[in-house]
Amino acid sequence: MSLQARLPIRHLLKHPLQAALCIVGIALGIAVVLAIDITNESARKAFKTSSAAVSSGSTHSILGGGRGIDETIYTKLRVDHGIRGLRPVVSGYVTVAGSRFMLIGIDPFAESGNRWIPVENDAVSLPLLSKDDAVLLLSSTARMFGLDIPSKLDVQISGVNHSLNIVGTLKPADDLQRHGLRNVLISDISTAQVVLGMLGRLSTIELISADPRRVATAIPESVTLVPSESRSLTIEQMTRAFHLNLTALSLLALVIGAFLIYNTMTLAVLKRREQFAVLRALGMTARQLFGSVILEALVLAMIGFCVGAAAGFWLSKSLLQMVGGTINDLYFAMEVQTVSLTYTSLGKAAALAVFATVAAACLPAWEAMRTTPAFSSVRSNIETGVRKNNALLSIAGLNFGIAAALLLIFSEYSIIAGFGSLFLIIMGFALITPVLMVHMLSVIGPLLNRFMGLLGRMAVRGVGASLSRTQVAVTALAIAVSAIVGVSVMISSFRASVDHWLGNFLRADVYLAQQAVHKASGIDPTLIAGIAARPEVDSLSTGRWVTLQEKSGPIQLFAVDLERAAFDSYQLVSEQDGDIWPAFSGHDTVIISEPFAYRRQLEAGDVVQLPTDSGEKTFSIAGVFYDYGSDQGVVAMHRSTYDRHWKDPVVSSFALYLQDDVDAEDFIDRLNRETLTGRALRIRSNRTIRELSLEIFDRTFTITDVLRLLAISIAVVGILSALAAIQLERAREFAVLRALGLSPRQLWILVTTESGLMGLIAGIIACPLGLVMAWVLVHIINRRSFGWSMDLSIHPEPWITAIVLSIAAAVVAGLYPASKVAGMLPSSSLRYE
Amino acid sequence: MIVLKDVSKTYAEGRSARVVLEAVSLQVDAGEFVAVQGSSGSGKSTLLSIIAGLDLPDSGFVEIEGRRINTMGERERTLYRRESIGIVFQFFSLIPTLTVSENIGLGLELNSREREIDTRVKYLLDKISLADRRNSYPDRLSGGEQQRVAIARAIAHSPTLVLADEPTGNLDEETESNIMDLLKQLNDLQGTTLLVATHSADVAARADRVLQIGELQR
Repeated sequence: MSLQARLPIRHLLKHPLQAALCIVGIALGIAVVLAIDITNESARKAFKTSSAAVSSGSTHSILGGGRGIDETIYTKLRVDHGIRGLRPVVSGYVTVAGSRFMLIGIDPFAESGNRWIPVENDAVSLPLLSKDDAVLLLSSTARMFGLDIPSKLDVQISGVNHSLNIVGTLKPADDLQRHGLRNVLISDISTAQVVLGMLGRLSTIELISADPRRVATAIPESVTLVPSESRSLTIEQMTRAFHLNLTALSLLALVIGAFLIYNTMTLAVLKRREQFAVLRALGMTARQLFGSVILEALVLAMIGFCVGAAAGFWLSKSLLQMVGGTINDLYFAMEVQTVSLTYTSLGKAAALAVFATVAAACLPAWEAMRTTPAFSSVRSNIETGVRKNNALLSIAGLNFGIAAALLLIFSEYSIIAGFGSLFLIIMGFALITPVLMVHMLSVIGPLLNRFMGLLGRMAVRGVGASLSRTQVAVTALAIAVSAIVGVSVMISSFRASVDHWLGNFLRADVYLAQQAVHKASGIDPTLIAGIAARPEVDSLSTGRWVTLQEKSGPIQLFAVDLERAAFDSYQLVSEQDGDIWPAFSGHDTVIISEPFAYRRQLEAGDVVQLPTDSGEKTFSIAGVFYDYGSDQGVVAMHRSTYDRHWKDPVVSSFALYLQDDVDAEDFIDRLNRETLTGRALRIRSNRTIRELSLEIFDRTFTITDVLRLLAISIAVVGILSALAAIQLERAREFAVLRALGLSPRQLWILVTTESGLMGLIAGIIACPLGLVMAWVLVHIINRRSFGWSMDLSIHPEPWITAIVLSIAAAVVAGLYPASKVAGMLPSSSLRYE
Repeated sequence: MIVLKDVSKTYAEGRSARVVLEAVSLQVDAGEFVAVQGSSGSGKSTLLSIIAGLDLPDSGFVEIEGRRINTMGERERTLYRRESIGIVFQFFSLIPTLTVSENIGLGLELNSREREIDTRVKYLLDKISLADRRNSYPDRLSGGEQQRVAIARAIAHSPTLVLADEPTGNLDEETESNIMDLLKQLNDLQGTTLLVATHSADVAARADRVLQIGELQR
């Protein structure tokens, strides 16, 4: 082994604790990044495989509005136009023994030529047609759920039970299809239509071999023909910002990890300055020395990567549950069960580990390279040099801040640029931290002297005299804590905005909705009339949720029949001059949600094209309203406008305004008992909806708690590493103090005070950085990711938490070095050299 | 062998400057053993640093074997030092992560003379009577043993010039005597030029010539 390789490896073997701390830092950073990447990839793969189960082999899809497609369109295409190579599909989610399954209804005759989903006996039509309510599933799935073949299968949809018959098993062509079919039940179309409440309707018509140009001319205006690929892409784009935000948070953990590497490598280099000087004197070139330090960092990176990869894989299993839950809460129904670890994810993580390590080790390696090979070097010169450099670094830091501001100004919509500027701000603060630290020490010094006397004075001097060692650790801790402050303030601001919005938006007392609001068949009109006639009810408004299929993607439309007073519950971000109610209630005018306006760059006064039953129509936009319910955006129109353009009398939800003296919860109990038994309706009071919404909100951000915890762990490791190195270096100084009469307890207090002081400084610095991060997250990242605007809500808790957490983290990290120092034998250190 | 002409060196100390060497001139012949004496802070270590090419003079020139050191680039100086100069430090400065054998063979390894390492290290280990400690790490050796290893390391690649800065400064009298015997023996046997900065009168007494650094300055 060459000298350049032997030196760093021997150094690591000689200092296993230092190496282990660095490895832990890298491993934690990599674990977080890899876990998030695996989670995102698994979610994407789960979506792809489940969508492939429906659209496998198709080139285009015919999509309808909220109620799907009238099945006569399929008949006309086949019979009147003679078009073959079409696959009619009815699909939707059902629940089997607590697990979500996709029920796909197919036409066995249309399928026979396509061999889309083969069955064990190679005859698709027979088992499906031989028995009523027949379904097929994978034999492995049947085994997993302990189901016999044939046997009965109970499925639930919208709270209603259906009994189906398992008549055979599917035979997937390959692993991909097996994966996609894992939670799938196949039935014939009519069974699926009955179970899913879609009588006479189809979900899509897939084009297998039919000529799309011929189909385009043959279909009515009420449906849309889109390439199958664009459909998947659109749905993938829905969660893009969500995944991107998770990735950015995970990268933040890596940035803190990189600081730890920088910290460790700097300490390692500083500690070996004399050794490097000797090597340089003996003839080792600057380049050889640089390479040796980089190699040392790479060895650490590779070990850190291996440990981190294992930890990341383990962590991803927990994160997958959270992310899957959030996607189901906020975007679309999806079952994510399998953790999918790909070579690409591993490769990306390895590349990041190497990149972060080499980038972080470059400066220390350069420092090593610059070691002057003189006969003697004076430690104070190093510290003087550090103080001089700090002035330059703070100027660089300010420039980073200016660059961040310019990036924000000139990148109006880019999320990546938003995160880029956040990174620049963090780096800028990191560069300014040393100067701030020096100033703070000069302020804290006299205070500690007054309260702690000699020990306090020595602690301040100790931290100040070892700036080259302490400042990086303080910076790493400050960044970790500021990330916690920033994310906490962002979440509390977001929560406050959502709470305020819900308070205004939910004006009715009780809300009733179908379990699946987009179902083709709506709520029984006689039921609505019956409830409206009850004496407890003052008034009601009805709503209809539909998903319109447009070439650019799906549009959520909410048609609402409401009165003037209820219309005021829409808090408008901007609106056209004058009263917009007459236009909204009487003309082809809509209001759009803030995310919809942001994504499509629309504002009040513009127009929007919507696909109606009689083709595309133009609607005026009278206003833009706050809506935190969906980041994809919603178009709201009056029911009368909807009825003019869509032949869809269905009501999917309605809101009740009760008489003043009626208690909502009591009314719900009565209604459930007397009227709603056996109906697939969800009834909730204003208060319950608000509580549930905030519960979902909190669940969405659970993942950030995990990431924040990991970030602070990395910082604690950083501080521990720095303190351990400092104490080791100052062993002789401490031994002298012990010889002069300082008790082990006093020594322990001295070292712990130094740690606490570093934590205090990091905490104070973290506050302004946290505030800036929160501002960027609230006004830039959230806006660009989801289109929401909200106010920054500032409370004292995050700031107090920041300082307490920071001191606690530093003190915890300092406990081990403090005990080591207090317990050492002074004679052993005094004998050294 | 070594020629210094009007060499000056000033160090900045805060806002003021401290003149360490002022117009130092010196000539040492090949194979000569010269001791340089002077009080603490008189510039002995700086003089050795400049001769080794570890530091550059502010003015004047340094020639070793006819090659002007102070006009060479950093890399050229490093390569020259690696090949032609051996250095012994006051505090031994052994590499703690390398064994005794590896420390001694360091100069040969840096000069890509790996094939000679085994023979040469074995020979030197016998010479310094540390053959049984070849696989020990420096922290297992006494001060005298460490300095013997440092001397062996300095001469292992057969440099034409060995510079020693207070080589016995930290050692007791008996060990000092053994170390100086070793250095003198190498000087005699290999004809190596030896320039030693020392406070010790005993060390100076063994030299061919003793120079007082104050007298070297104009």
